Amino acid sequence: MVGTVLWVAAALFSIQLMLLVYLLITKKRQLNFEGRTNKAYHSIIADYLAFLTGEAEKEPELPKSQRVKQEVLERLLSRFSENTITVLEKNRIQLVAETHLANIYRMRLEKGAWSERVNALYFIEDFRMLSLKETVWSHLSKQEAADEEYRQTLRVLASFHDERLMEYLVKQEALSIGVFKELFRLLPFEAFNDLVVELEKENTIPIALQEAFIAYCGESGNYGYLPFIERKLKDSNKEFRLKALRSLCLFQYCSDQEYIKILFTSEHWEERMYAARLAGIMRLSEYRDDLLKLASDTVWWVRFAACEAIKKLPDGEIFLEFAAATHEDPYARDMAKQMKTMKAGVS
Amino acid sequence: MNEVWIEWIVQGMAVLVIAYMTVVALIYIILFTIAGPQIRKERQLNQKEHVEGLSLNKDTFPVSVLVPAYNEEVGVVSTVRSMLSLNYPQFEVVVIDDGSKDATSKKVIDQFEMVEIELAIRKYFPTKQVNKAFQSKLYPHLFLLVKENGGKADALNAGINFSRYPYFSAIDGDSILDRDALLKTMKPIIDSNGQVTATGGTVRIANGSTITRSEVEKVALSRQPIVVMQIIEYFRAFLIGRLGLSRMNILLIISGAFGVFEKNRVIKAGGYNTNTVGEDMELIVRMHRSIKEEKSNQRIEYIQDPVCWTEAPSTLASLRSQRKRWQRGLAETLWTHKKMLFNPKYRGIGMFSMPYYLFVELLSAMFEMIGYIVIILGLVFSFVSIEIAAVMFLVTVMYGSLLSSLAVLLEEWTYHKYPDVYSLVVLFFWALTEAFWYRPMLVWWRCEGLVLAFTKKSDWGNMNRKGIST
Repeated sequence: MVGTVLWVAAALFSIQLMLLVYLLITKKRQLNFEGRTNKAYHSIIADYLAFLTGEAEKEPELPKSQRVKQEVLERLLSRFSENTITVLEKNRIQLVAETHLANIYRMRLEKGAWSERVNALYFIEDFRMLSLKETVWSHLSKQEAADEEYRQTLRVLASFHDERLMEYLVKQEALSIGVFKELFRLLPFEAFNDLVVELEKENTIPIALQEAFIAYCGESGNYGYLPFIERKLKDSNKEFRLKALRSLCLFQYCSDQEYIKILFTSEHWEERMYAARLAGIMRLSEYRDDLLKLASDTVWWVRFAACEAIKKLPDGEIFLEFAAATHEDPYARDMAKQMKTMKAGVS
Repeated sequence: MNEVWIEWIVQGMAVLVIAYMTVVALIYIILFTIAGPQIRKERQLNQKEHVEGLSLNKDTFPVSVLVPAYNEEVGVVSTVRSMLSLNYPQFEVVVIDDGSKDATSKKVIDQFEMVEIELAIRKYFPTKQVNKAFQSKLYPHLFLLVKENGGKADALNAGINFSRYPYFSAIDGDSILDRDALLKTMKPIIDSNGQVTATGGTVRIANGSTITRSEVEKVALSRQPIVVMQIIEYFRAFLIGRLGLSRMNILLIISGAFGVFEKNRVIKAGGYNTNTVGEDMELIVRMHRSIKEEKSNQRIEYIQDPVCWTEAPSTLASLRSQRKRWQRGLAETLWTHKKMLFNPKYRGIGMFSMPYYLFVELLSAMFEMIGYIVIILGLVFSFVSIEIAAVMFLVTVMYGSLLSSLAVLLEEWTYHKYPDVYSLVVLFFWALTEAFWYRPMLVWWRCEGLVLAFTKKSDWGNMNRKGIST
């Protein structure tokens, strides 16, 4: 018995020892690699930045080791692309990446581990490696899980303005509103021409995509979408209406001001809140009394939006002062007082 | 005759303890096999690129960062500074001074030039009186609420009442966050379009690391064995336990030190319970309950990468106080929700998670205590053969140290932040010693906590802080 126990103990202890040796070796290797990469990076950075900005024409010699070269280039190009302004600089980044990294990323997408594939996709997007567009498109067809790899593949294609993407997206039920909007921001306005026409009719397009597009319209600042958004204001779907109202707040405009007044008495508090907000943004002082009434709404958010809107009106501070002192509703007085003393507190 | 009986009982208990410890070790190994592949899969992921787009994304839901503080004059300013430097598009920071007896409020008011504001506070939950509210002139998104003392849960409820954003993050008043921590924690919520209703990140121990201007500059191990043991313990709890349970969507704890919650869900669940010291776990259990009762598909997730740094107890007295409080909190939560235990209506939560927390997390102290007693008394009075004592001791040693070693491996795969190989040797060395000194201590304190579970009123727990930032 004692013998068996000792054997088991020895075996388990050996496992731990092997684990320790494995960790020590990999840690040492990792630290060595980081050391070599840092050294190479710092020795090359000044010359390479001169090359990327166009100050120098000849490309500085890169490290011999393939791994170190890749790491150094990724760090250099990432850092540089964050602050890149000129077309020349962008083209240089693209050229360098296409020359040195395209084959590596092609291989990674084909045979790499999950994190290697995702990293490759991040850099393909950052460095605008258009030569890999077809590779990325075929990579999309291999995606089975709706995970980060799938989303990043879509982001790359959207940033490359791939013409096939919209047709693909309108069939995707699993994507969230946020991801749709993220993709829309990367696409050119022309990509949505057919979509707007489709959305005006009865359609089978995923609801998330429709909501995302209505919300995106306001963010885009493209007033060409304004008539479409104003029509959505009267849609039977409440979420569409709310997204349309939010878009109008971003447009800071609504041609049908009468309709805003109707929304002040909507049965949905979100509509009352957005209507108050829009009235404030558009400085519609003719709705001052309606807003004062909304300052005593049963919902905190509506009261907040109403007082915020009053503050934005011409002489709004005075009306707020008046409301804080004399409003018949104590909740409205409290809110007016808060709005008076509080600055717009966002980060 | 009596001696024979006693010998039988002792031997029977010894076998029971061995069986129990083996099952527990197996559960941990299973959790490791669930958590390990996930960490391995993501270990080379470029974390900077991973959240880069998100920091510019207009769809990152705004977040209210709630910082409850009670007598935190030493650490509160650096905590607030850490929050203000978060890389996140839109957030507000709300410090809630829960009737501190020290200069917590004064430090915040002076440092950030706070001016008093009028309040139109909402009452999702009743709380102790909020006496004053302040807003910073320097940072308009920084607020301070000064309220009467009501405990951490009450302070958080007051913060929720005041907060304006649809998500809130609860951060301990003595903690600091990595700059991208909030982005990383919100990412699953944003990507899932709200299907993920709460997320928690990893809490790591800052003692020993160099922290300047509220940021961790260099990660290093503390020289105090008691702190090193807690570091290992945290790795094991987060990287094996929580990640494993989260992968099965049956996670029952999001650390009170760092979590993000959907406000609506918390309001539906009734907010923080002010009658328990384990308010963080109790809230998560109620949220699960509310999700299951609504037949909703929402999930609660743990993500290993975002890191919150906190100061660990560095004295035996403060560690003892903390562990007794944790044990009480766990016991109170399980007692409050005993109807969920083995209840198939709550699926994985009722059938696995709750029993796991009862038998593995709560009662393990009792089983281990029996184990130690059996070994010591059995050997002294010769009731237990040396073989059984050896087997039990071996199981105890392996139970602790092998799992700790695996947790160190996962740490290296996840963060690989220790700047030298020496730190790994130190972690391994102390992991091997756990069963000889650290674990018996914890077992004793946890048993004390179990006894006290239903006898004492809740408090904030006292810990003499030295402050982690310079």
